[in-house]
Amino acid sequence: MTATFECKGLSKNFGSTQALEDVNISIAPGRVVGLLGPNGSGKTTLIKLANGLLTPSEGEVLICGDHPGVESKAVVSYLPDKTCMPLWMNALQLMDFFQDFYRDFDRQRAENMLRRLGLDDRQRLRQMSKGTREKVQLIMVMSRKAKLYLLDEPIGGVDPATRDYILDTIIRNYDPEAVVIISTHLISDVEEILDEVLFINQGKIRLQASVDDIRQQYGKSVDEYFREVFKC
Amino acid sequence: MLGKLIKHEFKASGRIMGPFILVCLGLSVLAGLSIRGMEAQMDYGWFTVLFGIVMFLFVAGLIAVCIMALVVCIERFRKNLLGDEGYLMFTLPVSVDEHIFAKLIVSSVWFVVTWLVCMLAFVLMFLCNLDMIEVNWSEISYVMDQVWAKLLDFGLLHIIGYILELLALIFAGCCFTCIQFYSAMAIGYSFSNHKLLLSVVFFFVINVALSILQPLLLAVTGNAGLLDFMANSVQNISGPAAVHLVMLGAFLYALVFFVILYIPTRLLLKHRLNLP
Repeated sequence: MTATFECKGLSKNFGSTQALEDVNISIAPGRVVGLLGPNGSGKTTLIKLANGLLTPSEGEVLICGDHPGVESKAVVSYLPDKTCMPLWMNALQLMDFFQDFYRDFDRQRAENMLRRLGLDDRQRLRQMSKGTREKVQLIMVMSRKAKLYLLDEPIGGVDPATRDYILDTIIRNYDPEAVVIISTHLISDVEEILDEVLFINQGKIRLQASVDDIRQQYGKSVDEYFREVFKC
Repeated sequence: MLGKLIKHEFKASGRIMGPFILVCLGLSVLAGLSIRGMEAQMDYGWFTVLFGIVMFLFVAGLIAVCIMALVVCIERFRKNLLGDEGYLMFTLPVSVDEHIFAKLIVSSVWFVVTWLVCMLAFVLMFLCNLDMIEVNWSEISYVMDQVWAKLLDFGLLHIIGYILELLALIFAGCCFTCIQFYSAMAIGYSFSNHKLLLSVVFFFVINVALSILQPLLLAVTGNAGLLDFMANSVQNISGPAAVHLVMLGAFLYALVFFVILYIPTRLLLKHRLNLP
């Protein structure tokens, strides 16, 4: 079976700084993966490479067997770590936009989620609070029936209630055949929904293991084990 | 996908350009009416002040709509592709070429629309005072007939050809103007710091380079005998065909410089994208 997400000898340099070094990963369909690492460990760089926003210095990234490009972007649903939706748009305009560009966008699902949120779909993003903007952005991303969801710090900088809403939205809406990669350093919050983890530090993958294996092998939660591995 | 990008680009830019155009046309009607008022008013007094204000606003409106077309061209590229919105745009299943061309086409259309609006504004102002101006319609009709007869002498196919060539030339000229800004921003924003400042610097660098390259290209093509060939051709072929040749030459000239700037813009957006 073709891996949904694969990195082969992937490296990325920014001048003399090595952001990623010889990363080799293979993730099969149907897995929820935590990309866990301290700040500046290379999580966002890896996700940007997978989205074709950066070009590898060495090695390759493959999405369902394709290099990042027009074909791969049609099956990847990406949530960046900042608001990227045009602030002059309202939710209706955003749905029109997503529907025009993504065949896998489920408008009904998006409308239902927006209704549950009690949001006025004619209110512009500019007029919304930061938390609400992030929720709307997440709704758009999770309303796609994508093969790979790349969620960069989806729960960073939000209150605990919003955090629960975001995780619940992710779990309720992703396609079971899809891969979900969640990049975060807030491990205890996401641990329950993860099947697999990737520990990344200083641009290198330190560990790829299933959550069950970590618990059985080390007798610790992922959060506890992470703290032990990355102890300063 | 290019069509969809263009549609959304028009929506995004139209919400800025639309009100400016409407205000501009509204001011032209007001200016026309105030001229009419000035003509009718025997005692000028306060009306002169009002007339002055309206005319000032009319001229300011025309200038503003032209400036806005340029600002929209630059800002849509900068914010939508090189700012935070770039995370959304560059993860759409769309090629970099489609992104650039969508911006080029929409900006070019706004440039043309702006010129048309400026002309329409003067026509509206004139129409508001039509009954007060003595127009010799029979003379105008006579002149138009003469012009049409002359045009028909050239041949209808030539006329259609000229119109199409002129449109292509205007489009190429607009695209060339836009790509100068886009290439400067693509270079400036590939750096980590002082992106805007570097974009401005590179805009001037590109313009200096172009002012050196353009005569150089003419010299090279001249040495290669191309200009002589064209000059001989113009002498040897019929008048209408010579105009086609000149138009084609001008179009190719604009195209060459467009391509020179398009290639680095494309490469930088594809391989050196440096989103904030």
